[in-house]
Amino acid sequence: MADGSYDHLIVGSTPLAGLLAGLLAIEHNKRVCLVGEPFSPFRLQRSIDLSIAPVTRPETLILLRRVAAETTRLVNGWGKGLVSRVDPLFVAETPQSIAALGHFRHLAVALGYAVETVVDRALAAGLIVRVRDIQMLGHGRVEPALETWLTRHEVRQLDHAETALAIRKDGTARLTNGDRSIEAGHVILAGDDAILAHLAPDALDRSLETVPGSALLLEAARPLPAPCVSFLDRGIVLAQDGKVGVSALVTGDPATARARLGSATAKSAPLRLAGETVTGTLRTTDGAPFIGLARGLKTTIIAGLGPAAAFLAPALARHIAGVSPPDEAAWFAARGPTRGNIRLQAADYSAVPA
Amino acid sequence: MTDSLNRLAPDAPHGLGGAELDRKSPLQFRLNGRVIDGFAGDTVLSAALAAGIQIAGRHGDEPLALDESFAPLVSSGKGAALPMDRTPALDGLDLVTIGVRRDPIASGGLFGALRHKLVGPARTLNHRFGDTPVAAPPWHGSAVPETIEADFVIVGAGVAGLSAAVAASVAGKSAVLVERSQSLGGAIRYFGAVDAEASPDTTIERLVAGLEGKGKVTVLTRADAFAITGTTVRVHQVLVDGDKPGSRILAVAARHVVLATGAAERLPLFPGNRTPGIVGALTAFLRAERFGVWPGRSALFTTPHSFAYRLALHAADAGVVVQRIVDSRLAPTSRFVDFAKATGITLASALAPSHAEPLQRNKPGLRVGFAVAMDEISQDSSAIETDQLIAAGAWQPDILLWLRAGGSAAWDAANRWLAPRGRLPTVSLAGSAAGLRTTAAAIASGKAAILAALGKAAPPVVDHIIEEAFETPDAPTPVAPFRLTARGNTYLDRGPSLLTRRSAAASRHGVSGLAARPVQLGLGDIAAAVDIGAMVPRDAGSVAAERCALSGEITDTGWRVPRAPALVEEVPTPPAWLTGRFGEKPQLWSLAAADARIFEPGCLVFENSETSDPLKAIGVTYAAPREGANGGIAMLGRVPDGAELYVRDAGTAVAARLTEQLKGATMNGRRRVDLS
Repeated sequence: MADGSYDHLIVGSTPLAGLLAGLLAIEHNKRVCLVGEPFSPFRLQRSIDLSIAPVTRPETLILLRRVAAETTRLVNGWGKGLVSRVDPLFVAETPQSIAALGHFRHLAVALGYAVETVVDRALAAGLIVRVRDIQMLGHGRVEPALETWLTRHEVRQLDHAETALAIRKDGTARLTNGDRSIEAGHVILAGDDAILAHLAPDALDRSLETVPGSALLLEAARPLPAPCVSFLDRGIVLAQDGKVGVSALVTGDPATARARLGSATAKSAPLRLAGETVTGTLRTTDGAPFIGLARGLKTTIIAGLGPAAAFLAPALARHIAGVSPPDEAAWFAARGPTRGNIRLQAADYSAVPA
Repeated sequence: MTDSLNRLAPDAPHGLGGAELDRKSPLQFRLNGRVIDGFAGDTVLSAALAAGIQIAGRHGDEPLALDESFAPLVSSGKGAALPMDRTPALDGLDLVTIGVRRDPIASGGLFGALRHKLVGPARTLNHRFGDTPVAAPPWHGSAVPETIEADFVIVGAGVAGLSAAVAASVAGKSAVLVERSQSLGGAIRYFGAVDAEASPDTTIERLVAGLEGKGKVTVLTRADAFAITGTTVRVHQVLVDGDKPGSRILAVAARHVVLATGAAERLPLFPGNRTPGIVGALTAFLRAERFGVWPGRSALFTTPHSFAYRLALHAADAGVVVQRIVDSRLAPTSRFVDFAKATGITLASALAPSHAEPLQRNKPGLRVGFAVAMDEISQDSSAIETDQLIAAGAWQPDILLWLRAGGSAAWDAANRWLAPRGRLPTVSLAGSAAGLRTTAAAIASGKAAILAALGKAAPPVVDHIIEEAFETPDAPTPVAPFRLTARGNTYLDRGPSLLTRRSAAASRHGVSGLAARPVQLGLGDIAAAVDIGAMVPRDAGSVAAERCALSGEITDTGWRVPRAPALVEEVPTPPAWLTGRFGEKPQLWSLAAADARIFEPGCLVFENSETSDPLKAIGVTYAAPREGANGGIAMLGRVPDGAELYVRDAGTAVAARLTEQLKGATMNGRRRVDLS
């Protein structure tokens, strides 16, 4: 027996999925159900959420700057210490990525970000850019607060391990959780883990490809040169957690992850491995985010948003609720499926790590 | 007992006199400057324990027991770091322990001798353990210079591993058998035989004799299998080269791997549970059986299962004063319990340790309190002073290599342990690592693993557990009631993670502790975290897979970012990320700067100097100028009416002029991204 129905079923375990579910329910009065993995403080960090990304499209940076402020206000309202102000470093080591990061730097300066180049030979010989006053979600603190926020607003949260999900071609779905059955009018797969778990490879848009990755927990002999360091050509993002803890997200072949990490950090902050897991990730072949329908399905998928995904949640919620202002609507329109090749006008930089 | 306070007599009954020792061959070596007496057959650790060194060092103000699971590495100064428990004690060695140490000022010379006389020989290795995790063994990150090949590699030479090796040999296959200790047979002697089973010694003799089959079996002792990739197992082995210990790291490449790694005894959870003088029951047995080591003359036993009774009975026969056996089960039934009653040993049930503390800072002995081990009752009984607390815990299958091989695990609520889940095509589990409890099942599972790998049928493995009417089932690892006022730390396990109950509990609130500490977890840590409610059971398997990874330094192995070959192009092609940015038909131009500067790639180009809005930019520089020129090469969406334009170079508007339109491929032309 079906015991409820929902406008949207959000599938995902990242802060993006939780924020999207909550915003759709609270701001847009939608009936929303979130299916994901309950947060475990012992598991390795799967996302590093920053209010900026090294993008080369001004409209993306403009959107991000505005929407990230909304997200920051929202999360800060849940309690203290959930969002921290950091000065991340972005590191480019090849001529191609140096050109892209250089352009990002000029865009960011023009848009009022405090940006500076850094010379640190111990870190890298290429271009290093520091962006000041960026917001970062506090892993391990935000997730419980997010769950509490969703519970307070009666957003239904289901454990994916206890839920059977049948997605239909028309984008609706039937969930079975124990002896309960639930109908959802529209499925949104928010994040790489959800997409890879629920979509067959041939349902992925041609602009999407799967890339292996890994998440690592590290002990640093010295603090990192910045609370967050992103090596564009190595596919590595590092985030300091406490005095000696470092979380790393590595895109690309897990077999070379330690080697890529070792040669990047041996001089600046020697690291020791404390935990590791292999993950699957998605990237877009043109570097632009993807927000649109799966191939042959009316299921919405959200991919390729990079580290800024969670901070874009308010705009995503408006888009899904159909109330985007014109500039946001234009932004999303250019980042949909490849049909019509509108995406080509929104290509962005995307390094492909070895 | 012998004259030595810490060794049983060579002829102690039940084989507790030290089967691996040659008591006619005494030896001496130095450890951190202190002379240690031992015998041929001792390891550095067993000799140190027999010499009364019970303390590895301090964690904060808390002394930590020196243990097989927690002992610093040693070095002779020139050689590589070696593990104390696998390094043979050799006459004349001069060893130091590796790590942060704080030796007393007067540790050597005349002052040292005086100190020795006044306060007795040092009982500690004087290490200091802070919040920084204990370093991983250096071989975890070392290159592997040597590879040996075989049809099978079998890890663990207990009865399951031996049985697998015999089955491989009988089938004419080569096998490498990797064993951590110096001898074969594992822990079977601790458990003894049931009913009509052959004695453990007979079983081991039969299996060892079976290694001489058709296929060659290479046995590596003092060898630790620490990593596995596919079907290649990386091994660190301690060797003796002349009169010096050394080591080698080798890879054993096989077609199939059998993991017969046994099970570890977990640490009961109570404040002060790593106080020197506390030892696991299996560890206490192996120390005595292999090396005759038994610190002190009296012992208290606490246990959630029946095998510790057997050890207590044998220890009593060997002259140890068994003060009491305290069982966390209510009115347990077992033949061992009956024997203990008949012998007159004081027994108590439904009690578990509530705390332990040293009697005096520099003296052996400890005081142990007990509390009722029943739900929601925490009534203390009076404390007991003893030389040694034999603290048995529940079992945890050793599935570390299974997880490192890519296997998964899940919390087994019935057994309250992390159990392996699923299958791997080229890696099998056998014996207690597979969750089996009986000797017969362990032997059968070793053989079955080989036969299955060879595609042959094997008889089913039956784990025949004695009925509950005759043998009360094992209870979970005892957990003392949590008290904020408790003085000592409650450690989750015996290993190097040094995680405490307090930090694990804090992790539930996402603020600190176990979750955030960048430390490799042991399986015992995770099982304990579940037992105390700090971790939900559903997470245990995933956490084990993620956080029991092989630790080690992340070093520079010479990897460098690959460089794309430089294209020789008269006009550089704009990057793909500029596709469509400046219209359908952008133009490529050489720009000359008003001053001598060269624009870096990525500068925005504007019609006038007033604006800096990126959305109003008419172009962007994307390549360096031609040789000898200044300015740069830009992509422009349109050409302004005047020849002058402005390039924003890091916020400054720099005048520039168009010098030459270039005929090259734009991204909207030749190298368009093909998504069709």
